[in-house]
Amino acid sequence: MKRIAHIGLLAFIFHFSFFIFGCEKIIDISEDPSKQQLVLNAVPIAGQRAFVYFAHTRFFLDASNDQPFDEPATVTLYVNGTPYTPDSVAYCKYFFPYTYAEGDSLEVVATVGDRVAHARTYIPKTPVFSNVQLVNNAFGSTFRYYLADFDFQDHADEREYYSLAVAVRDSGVRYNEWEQRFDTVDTVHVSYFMLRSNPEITGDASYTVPMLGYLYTRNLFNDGAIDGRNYHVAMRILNLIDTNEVQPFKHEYTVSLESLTFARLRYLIDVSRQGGGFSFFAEQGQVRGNVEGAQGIFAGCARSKVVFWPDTLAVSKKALEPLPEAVRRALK
Amino acid sequence: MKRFVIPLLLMLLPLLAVAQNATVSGTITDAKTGETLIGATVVDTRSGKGTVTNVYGHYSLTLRRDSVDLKVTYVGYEPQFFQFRLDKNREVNVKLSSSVTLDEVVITAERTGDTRSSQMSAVVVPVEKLKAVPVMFGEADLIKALQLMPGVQSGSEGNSGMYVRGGGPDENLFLLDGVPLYNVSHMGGFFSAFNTDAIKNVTLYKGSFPARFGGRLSSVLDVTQNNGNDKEIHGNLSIGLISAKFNLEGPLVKEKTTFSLSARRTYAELFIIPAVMWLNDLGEEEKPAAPTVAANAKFDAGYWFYDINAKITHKFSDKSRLYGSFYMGEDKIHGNINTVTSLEENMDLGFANKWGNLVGALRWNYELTPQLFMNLALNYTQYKNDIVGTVKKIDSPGDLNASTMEGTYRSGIKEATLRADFDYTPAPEHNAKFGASFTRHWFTPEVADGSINYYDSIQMNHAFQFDSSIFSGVIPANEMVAYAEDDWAITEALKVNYGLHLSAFRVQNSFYTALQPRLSGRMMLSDDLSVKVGYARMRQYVHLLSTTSVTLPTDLWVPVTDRVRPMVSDQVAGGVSYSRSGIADFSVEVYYKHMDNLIEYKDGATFFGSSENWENLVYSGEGWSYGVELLVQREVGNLTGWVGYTWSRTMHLFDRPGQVLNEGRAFPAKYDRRHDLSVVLSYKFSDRFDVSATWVFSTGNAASLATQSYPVAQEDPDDYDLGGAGQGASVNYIEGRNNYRMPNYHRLDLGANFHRKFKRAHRTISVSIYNVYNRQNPYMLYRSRNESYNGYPSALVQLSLFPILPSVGYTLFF
Repeated sequence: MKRIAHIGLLAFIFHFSFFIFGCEKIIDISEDPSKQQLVLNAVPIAGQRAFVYFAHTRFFLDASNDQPFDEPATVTLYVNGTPYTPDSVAYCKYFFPYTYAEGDSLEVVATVGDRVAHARTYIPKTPVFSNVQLVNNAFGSTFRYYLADFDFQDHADEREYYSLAVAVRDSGVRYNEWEQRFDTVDTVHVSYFMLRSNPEITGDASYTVPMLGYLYTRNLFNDGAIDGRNYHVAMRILNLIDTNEVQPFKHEYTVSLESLTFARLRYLIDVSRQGGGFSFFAEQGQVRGNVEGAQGIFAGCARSKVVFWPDTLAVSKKALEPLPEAVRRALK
Repeated sequence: MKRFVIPLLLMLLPLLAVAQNATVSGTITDAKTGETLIGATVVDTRSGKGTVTNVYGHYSLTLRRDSVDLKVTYVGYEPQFFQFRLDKNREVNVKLSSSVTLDEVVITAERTGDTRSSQMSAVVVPVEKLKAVPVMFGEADLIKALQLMPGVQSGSEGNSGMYVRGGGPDENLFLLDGVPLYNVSHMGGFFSAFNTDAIKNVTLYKGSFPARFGGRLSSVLDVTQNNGNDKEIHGNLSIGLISAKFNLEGPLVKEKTTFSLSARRTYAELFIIPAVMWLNDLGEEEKPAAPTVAANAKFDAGYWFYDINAKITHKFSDKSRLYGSFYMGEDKIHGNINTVTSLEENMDLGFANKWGNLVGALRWNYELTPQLFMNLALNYTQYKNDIVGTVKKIDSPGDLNASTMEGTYRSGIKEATLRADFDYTPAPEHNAKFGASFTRHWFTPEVADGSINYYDSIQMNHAFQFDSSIFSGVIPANEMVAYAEDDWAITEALKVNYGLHLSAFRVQNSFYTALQPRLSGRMMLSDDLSVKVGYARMRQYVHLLSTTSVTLPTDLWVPVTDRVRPMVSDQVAGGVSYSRSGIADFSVEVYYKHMDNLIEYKDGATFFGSSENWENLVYSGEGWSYGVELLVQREVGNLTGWVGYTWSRTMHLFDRPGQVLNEGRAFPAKYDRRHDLSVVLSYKFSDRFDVSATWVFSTGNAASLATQSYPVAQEDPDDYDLGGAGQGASVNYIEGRNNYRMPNYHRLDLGANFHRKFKRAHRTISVSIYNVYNRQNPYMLYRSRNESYNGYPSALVQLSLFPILPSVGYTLFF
């Protein structure tokens, strides 16, 4: 039997050794400077200091983030018609002596040489959380479930776009024996429960993005189904990494609700499609911006957020109280 | 309904002009095996009228009551001549004998795709010829041989997908004994489902489709299985590098009932098992005192496929025959990893994917009158794909904390068809076909079910079960088809084939109908030179959702819906065909095809891993393709083969409101290729030795490639980012969809066959070398951060699949 196995092994090695001759090779591709584009990026948020990123695109094999211009560039920000010039510049970010406010009408003009980038936006109304409830280990299992639920009032005047996100930041690290490296965060599942718990507000996109030190999942939706209503949101957060109780972890959870301009909504959807979990199989498409003469986005948003640390929360007694309808849906 | 019936009746009017004629009819068979010959020609040399045998070997030739000089020919067979006075209907069954020397055969009449036929854009590939083409892994492959024909392109390296005149891989109708096959790929597309030992005739229609065919936009591949030798038992046994197969055929009742049985099975796992054992042993030897995950991982993997073709034919009389056909093919890939994560914890991960086709057909032929031949058929076909995944975790020796997760994902399609076809030859100038069919489809696009079972920290058992079939179960659909066509010899030089194909499709709340006119004609400019033109409208009621550009079993067949409408194509073609007897055939064809309601995924979308309804993931648009195809083919003499060249262009446009791709600009289709060249040559040195060579060249596939990038818009310059895609994340700037051309593809294959005769058998040893000069052809491109290029910290890397690959096969014929 062993001899047969060895003969089979030899046949296998002989045959598949031909694959060693050439599986991969690097393609000769040279940078074409004429393909270079201007980039103007800014996400004005109410309450935040104004800054605009202005640079040019880089060759796709280049890993550097910032591509400053060789020649001087000028960036002017107009807030409700008043021009502002930058008071500092760092890493292609032009900082202005202004803090954005709800309802601002904004315009930016950036020039370098004879090239001009121009865009307009506004800052939408800030959504307001109310009746926030946080329930630690709400569903009782080896996995950690948290329930965050709250109300928010949608305005009836015009179509509004929202982003509801949960970010998790991990305060600890652990050693991953399998890959011989340190991990910070594994995964958190919110999107699936969002879909089940809040069917009226999940429509445009949802995705999860892992990043160094934290991870967030985001749901994008419009107010088509909840126009003008006081809507109750129930978010069931499942954190799988707490199953390992050998080493305690301290997490910081941030729940963030944002009002978006349409340009911002479209941009986030496009970016998520370029970097989605199964994008290996998918056709990569363009990310649509709103800047004339440049790639990128200049689109305002307004944000409300609440931060909680589950390890400091006692098991909430609120879970014993009659649960709102949305929460009961989440529990099903 | 009236608008369908009236055109049909009008079309059949010329057939009523029946004069005082008589009909010669019968069946043409191989004298040695009794196998019916498809496409054999029967010509009355006195009047110049002729016909060809249908797929059942039957012919019917209506002539004036007069003296007849009948000549019966078939490529590779000695012609036969009959002289008689035709006063009444007469049955002439002909048995042709194989010709010793092919070059003595003169093709005098028409065959589908020949100079004299009214059919254009058709390719007939003799099965023996395709077996002579050099092969990969010692396994002759029908689809790969067809990919060497002009107008037919392969997808990517080694793939069995077919792209005909700008059409996608789902736009081809594969018929095995008249029954559709939905997935023709084995081994992820490296082999096709057609076992060449089981088939006797292959015809590929690329355009100018006869009215009897419908349901796909771009091509029809009509494959007929062997009936079986009706005199004595014969067979063959082949062993290749990764598979073995046999074919056995013979009479059950001599000259009455025959059978043909073929089977093929891979044995690649025999190579895989020792490799797995070796790798597992390696892990054991290196196991340290304190167990670690890597040292304790055991894995097992395997892959196989098989297919079985069977056919039974019973001859009740010369006028009545019954055929039972069967095909079954299945692939399975499976893997299992067992890891010990600590002294007490044990994790078992399993995966299996099984997919395959099942086809059955029962057909009855009956010659109702010498002019009217009938075939009734009851067909069944199914394709299914099952994926099973399991995770078992055992936390302690007592299994108290055991948890299991099991999931199954199923998709597939089934259909049953009742069909009646008639051949009617009322007059010397007319050869008509008409018929109707009813098909019941059952689509199962995606069904997932499974269970999760685990114990929590206080040993309480939690069990969940899910079954998506509650929401997305089987979708039934009905399809009705009626057709009529007539091959009308208006004059000796001018012949047209005109017809109508009517179809209706009902699924859920949608009901679609279509009137699809067909027309083709040829004008003989001289005895060996003809000009042909053709037009065909085709409609397709099913779509294939493909995860990648490669044909995979996970691709889903879905029916049209209210939102995703049927695909439609209109194709016109024209060409010149020249046949130089005993030397070669030449043909040039130009075509233009417009396609509507094509579907493409939205940017960044894929059904794999998506919980969204597939209708929300796709856009509809249009496309067009045009090109020139040249073919020089030599079928006689010691040197045979063909040279095929295609120049083509295929574009897509998605600019409908809310369904915009590429900013509403037209873009090249993934398989838009400017040049496609194939040279296939075989040379027979003697009865004991022949060689063959194939060289292919094609322009690289189009792909979307970002050549510039820039940072994602940051919301907060200091704090971590709750928006965008994260710090340091980039946006890829892509100029346009499919903006980049992958490197050109070219490859040389060589093959040699050594034949030897024994007393009661003969054998062939086939040696072939795939990719002789080890060209690294592109399979896919990706950006690698592990490589550097020209001072950049990453590189664009091309993945190639097959380097130089020798193989050997042994076949024993008895």
